[in-house]
Amino acid sequence: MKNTILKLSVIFIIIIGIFSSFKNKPNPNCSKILELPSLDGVFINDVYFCETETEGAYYYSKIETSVCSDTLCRIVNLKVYWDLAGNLKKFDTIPGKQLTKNDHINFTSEDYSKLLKTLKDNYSVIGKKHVGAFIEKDKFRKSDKIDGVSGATKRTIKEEAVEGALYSTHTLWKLINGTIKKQLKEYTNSNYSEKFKLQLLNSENGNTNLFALQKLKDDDYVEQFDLILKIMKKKHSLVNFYISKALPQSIFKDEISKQKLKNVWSFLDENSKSVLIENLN
Amino acid sequence: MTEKNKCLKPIITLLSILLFGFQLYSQEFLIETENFSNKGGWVVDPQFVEQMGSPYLMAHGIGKPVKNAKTIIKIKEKGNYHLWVRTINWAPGNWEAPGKFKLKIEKKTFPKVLGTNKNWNWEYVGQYNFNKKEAQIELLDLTGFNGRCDAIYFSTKNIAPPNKKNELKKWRNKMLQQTKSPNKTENFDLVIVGGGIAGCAAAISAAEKGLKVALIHDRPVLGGNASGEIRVHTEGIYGYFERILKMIDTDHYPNGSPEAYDDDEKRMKNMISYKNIHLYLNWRAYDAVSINNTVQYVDAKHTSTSERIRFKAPLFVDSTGDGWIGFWTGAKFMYGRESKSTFNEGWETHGELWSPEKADNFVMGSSVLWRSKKLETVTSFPKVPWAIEVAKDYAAVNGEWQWEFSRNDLSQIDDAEQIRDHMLKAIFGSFYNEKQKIGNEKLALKWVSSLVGKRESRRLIGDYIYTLNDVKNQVDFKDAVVLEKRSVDVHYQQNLNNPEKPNFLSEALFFRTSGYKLPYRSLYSKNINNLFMAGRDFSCSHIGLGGPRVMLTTGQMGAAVGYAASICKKYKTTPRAVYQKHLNEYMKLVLSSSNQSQNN
Repeated sequence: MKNTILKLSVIFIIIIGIFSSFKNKPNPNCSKILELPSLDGVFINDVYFCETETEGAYYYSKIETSVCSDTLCRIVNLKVYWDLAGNLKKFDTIPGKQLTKNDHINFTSEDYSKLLKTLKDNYSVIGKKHVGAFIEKDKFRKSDKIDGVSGATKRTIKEEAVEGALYSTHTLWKLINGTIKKQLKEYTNSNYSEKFKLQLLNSENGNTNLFALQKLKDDDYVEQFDLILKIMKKKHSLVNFYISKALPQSIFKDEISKQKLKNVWSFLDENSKSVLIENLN
Repeated sequence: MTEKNKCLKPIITLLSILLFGFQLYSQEFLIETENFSNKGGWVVDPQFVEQMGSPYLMAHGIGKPVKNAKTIIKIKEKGNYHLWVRTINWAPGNWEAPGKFKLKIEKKTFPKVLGTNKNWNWEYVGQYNFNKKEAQIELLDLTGFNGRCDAIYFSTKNIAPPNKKNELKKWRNKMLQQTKSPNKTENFDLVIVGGGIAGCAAAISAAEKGLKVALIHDRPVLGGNASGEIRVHTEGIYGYFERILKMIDTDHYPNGSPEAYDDDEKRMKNMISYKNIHLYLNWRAYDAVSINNTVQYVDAKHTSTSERIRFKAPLFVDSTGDGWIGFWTGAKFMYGRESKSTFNEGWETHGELWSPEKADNFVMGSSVLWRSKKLETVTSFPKVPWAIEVAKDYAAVNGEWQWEFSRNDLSQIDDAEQIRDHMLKAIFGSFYNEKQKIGNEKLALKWVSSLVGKRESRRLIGDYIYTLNDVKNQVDFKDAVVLEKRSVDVHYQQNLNNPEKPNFLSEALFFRTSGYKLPYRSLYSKNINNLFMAGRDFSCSHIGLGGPRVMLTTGQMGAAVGYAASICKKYKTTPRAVYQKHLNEYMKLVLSSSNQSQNN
């Protein structure tokens, strides 16, 4: 009887394992390209390149990672999707494995939105430093002649981290925006195609546009000018400043193109305008 | 001569006589407001002389009208005079000008509200009949929000003075009867312009080696960005010059803290202990001339009395930050962000934010620090509609280093007043927003600097241009005189990457390193034979400036330059020859700095 139970248990685990393994493969259009270890190296997560008609090309991983504070470690699970420039597109939670704050309260939808915004921010202050350093900096000594110290750190934490989930935010940011980003860009670069280019230029993410813009030659700017103008309308200052400097002289010699540039003037920041104005006049 | 001309001749003669006679009869004089004997609560602002033409008085009352500035003027000829003041509305728009003031002569307050010009220009005040040879003039601040008055012009003729830059300069000199050259000349072994940490360190090390040093500084206190007027704490390491730098550095207080005053006191006490350092506080250099690529002299003017002195020396140090001495004397310089290929300084992680593909002028910005405090009683703060266009809905209680402004179309030198004013709008607007929050009824704006603290401007080109590669490659220069461990730290405006952020906040990008060394060859001009530079204007790329731009590092530059000047004096030679011919002796001097004692 004991043997039967043991045999059944083994079969059950194998089935779960197979099922689980099947579940980790997002869909038949995905192929594993690399592995993403958690920051402590305990978990190894597979990363897939996927391509579908509706979503286009993207990268995916079902992430499992430990999140540790000074006294406690726990496991966090998340399905993560990056675009071709290695920028986070979105994430999904796994049923039964909701994110929690203060170790036991489930995230609200607002918390998820805030987390997504922070994880999408390549320059999130919360991700840039070690959490310990943050906390340490927050204890910056108080002057005896001044009432308080700079609230910049506290303010940043408040703005960027879900309250009660500082460690989770920090760990996930590091994992999603760390070395994986460079690896994904490299993968895109080594498989770069016209299709990729158009997908990148059509992305809603300015930094993703920039990734493709930096590969364009002068002729491409002329050829894709309408798409470039569409990007300019998104008001991303860094991207528009880059475009303003990159536009070839042939654009400014063509009256129709010049007029088109004037038509997007209201979408531009002062930095971009300062570069364009010299060529437009 | 034709008949027609014959008829015209007497008419022209008569008109000429009338015009000449009228000119002879007319009386006019100009009063520079910085010359006022009692400045009340107004402050002298000499930061933008090169752009708008003169130091001026500013009512920096952070929202509370300041006390009247007063002076007694002497009138040569009694009579009825037309009056103009040169002023500006520093925040023009669909609201009342923030910096309004009035003019008062004796008991008459002129009804005209001044400070409403869109740009620096003359505003007509009215007429006044002087029936005595002396009269008291007063500037009455109405708002406490940075009203400005450059000068007051009196004329029996109703003709406004010129305002175009060059024309105004000539006219001003004529009105003030200024000769082309200063009447007074002083001679030194070394003339240092700029009394920030770099300039102070250069003065000490040179003085300790027996040089007669002039230190010219346009503020009443030494320290530059570290002074109690700007309040940035000194950062970096001491390198070989701990003993010298500890005399002039600051505690690591939170930026903006009034603790900076204690360090001002320490610095001044130490500086005046050197008998051969001749301090010229409140003197602003306005010109320098070179002949055969050798600086001959620097001319400086007192910011309050307008007295002028010509400073002569065989050697000069440009610690002005903006590289003015180099600029005036034709030293080669760089400004802006080089393309990433210029010095091969690209960093893929940060891309365009770090080093752009194509060069631009988007350098690191300037800061204005500020702080507020909760008082015991409820306090009010006026509405500031002219500030909200910049602050928008941002709210804050104080401003640290991140309160920084740069824009590609704004020069940190030529547009510095606009940059300072942008920061003032950001501060007053953000504080106003904060003040509206429940619980902040007792919150008061305590201190806002009126001075703009710059990070980057002109970089004079030396025999060596310091770049990121020297950091990356840990280059061990044989003339390494400055040591640093601090990360290369380059700033960008937050709104560049995130449109939701206000345009007056910056963020730092850090290239971490275990340490790096700077060569002496970056501390003297490539083409001006007797010009050193110490401070942010040393020879480096935009990215190369990122690490060594902090004040203990620039202080090291100063100390190194002061010692080099002593070698120059000893051998009657140039800064370059110190490297080429006397490097061993110089390096021994630098390395033994901590053991040397005062020698004056």
